[in-house]
Amino acid sequence: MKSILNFLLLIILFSASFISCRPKKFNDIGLEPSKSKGLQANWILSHAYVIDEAATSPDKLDITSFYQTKALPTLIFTETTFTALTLGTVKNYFGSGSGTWSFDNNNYPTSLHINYSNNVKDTFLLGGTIRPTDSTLKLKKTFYYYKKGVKNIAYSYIWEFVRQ
Amino acid sequence: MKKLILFISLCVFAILEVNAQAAWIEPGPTTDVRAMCRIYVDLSKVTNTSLAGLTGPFYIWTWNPRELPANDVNVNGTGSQPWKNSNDNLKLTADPTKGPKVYYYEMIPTDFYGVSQGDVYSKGISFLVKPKDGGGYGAPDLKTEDLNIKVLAPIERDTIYTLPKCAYTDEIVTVMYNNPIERNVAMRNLDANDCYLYAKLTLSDTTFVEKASFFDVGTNPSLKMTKITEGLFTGQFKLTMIPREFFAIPAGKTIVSAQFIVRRQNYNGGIDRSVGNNDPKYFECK
Repeated sequence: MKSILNFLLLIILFSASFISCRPKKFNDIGLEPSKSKGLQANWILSHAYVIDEAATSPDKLDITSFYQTKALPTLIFTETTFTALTLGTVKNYFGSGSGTWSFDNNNYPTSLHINYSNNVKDTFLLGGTIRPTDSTLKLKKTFYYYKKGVKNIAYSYIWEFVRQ
Repeated sequence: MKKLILFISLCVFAILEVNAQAAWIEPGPTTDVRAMCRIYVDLSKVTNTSLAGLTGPFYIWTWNPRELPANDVNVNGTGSQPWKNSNDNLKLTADPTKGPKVYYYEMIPTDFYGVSQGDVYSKGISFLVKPKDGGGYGAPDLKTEDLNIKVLAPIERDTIYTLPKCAYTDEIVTVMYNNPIERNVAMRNLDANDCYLYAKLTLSDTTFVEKASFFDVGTNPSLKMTKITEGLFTGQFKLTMIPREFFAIPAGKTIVSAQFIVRRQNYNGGIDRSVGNNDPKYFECK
C-alpha cells in the first residue's frame, strides 16, 4: 500500500513539474491598428528636409530653421476630409489647401492621395507607418523637370509633422 | 536597301538593349567609381549561350577602361595559355537574391584598373564572363558576348553650390559653402559668425540683381550664412531662401544664373574671400 502511495505521489510531482514548465499562452494582440484612424488628427510641421536627388548619394539637408522663420504648416485630417493651414508659411506645397484624402492601401499604406476641392490631385509618399499610436507623420514629395522631353529627377522634400 | 539598313539598325538596338539588361553596375548607373562597386551580370539574359549548361564557377575577363598587364595581381589569366586559366582573384560571386543566374564582382574601379575616375566615366567598363577554362585553341570558346557598362559621373560640386543643384527662382534653395575644402587656406575654419554671401544674379531680361554690393555684404545680417555643426554637412555654411522673395525679383522675371562669393564680415583684401568659384550657377533646370 505504501509503495502504491509513493508511486502516486511521484506521478503527481512529475505531472506538476511538467504542467509548470508549459509555456503560457500568448495574450490576444487585438485588432490590427487602423492606419486610417491613425491619420485622423491635427499635425504641425516639426522638421523639413530637402534631398538633392541628382546627387550620387542623395544628401538630406535639414531646412527646418528656414520653415521656422514663418508660421509652421498644419495638416488636419478627418475621416474623409483634408485641410492644410498654410497661410503665412514659407511656401505652400499643399495645393488649394482642402479636399478629400485616401490611401493607396488601407491596411498597408505607402502613399497618400489628396483630391483637392478644385479637382487637382496630388500624391505624397508616406515615410513611415501611421497607426493611432504613432506621433509622427512623414510625407515625401519628389519633383522632376523635363529636358528635351526627357523626365529627370530633381529633388525631394521630406516633411515631418507631429500629432497635436 | 533602306529596309536592310532599318533591319540591321533594329538588330543592333535589340542587342544593345539585351546587353543593357544583362550587365549593370551598382549602386549606379551614376556611381562614384572611387568607392566600392559591384559589377553585375545576369547569365540568363546574355545572348551568347555557350555558358548555358555550366554551373560555375565563373570569372570576369575585363579589358576596359584598361587591360591589366601580366604582372598585375588582377590580370585576366595566368600561365602560357591565360584564356584557359582565369585568375582566381577574378571569380564571380552568385547573388541569388537578384536571380538564379545573377553574379557579381566587387571592386573599386579606379583601384582595380589603376586609372583615373575620368577614364572610367569616359571609357566605361567592358568585360565578358567565362569559366576558368574558356576553351579555345581548337575547341569552342566558352564565354558571354562582350558586355559594356556605361558609368555616369556624379555631380561634382563647387566649393559654393546650390542645394538642390536644380534651383528655381520660386522654390526653396539653399546656397551652400563647403568651407573645409576652400582653396584659399586663409578662409578655412571660418568662425560661425564670420561668413557672408555675396550674390549677383542675372535675370531673364539680362538685368542684374544684388542684395548688397560686395563691399556692403558684411553689414547686411540677412546675408550671414549659418554654420552646420552636425550631420553630413558639418563644417559647411548655408543660407536658405526663396530667391524671388529674398532678392525682390519682380514678377515676370526669373533668374538665369547666379554668381556667388563668400567673404569674411570684415574684408581686407583677397585673403578674406573664397576663390575659384566664379562659374555661374544656372537656375530653372530645363
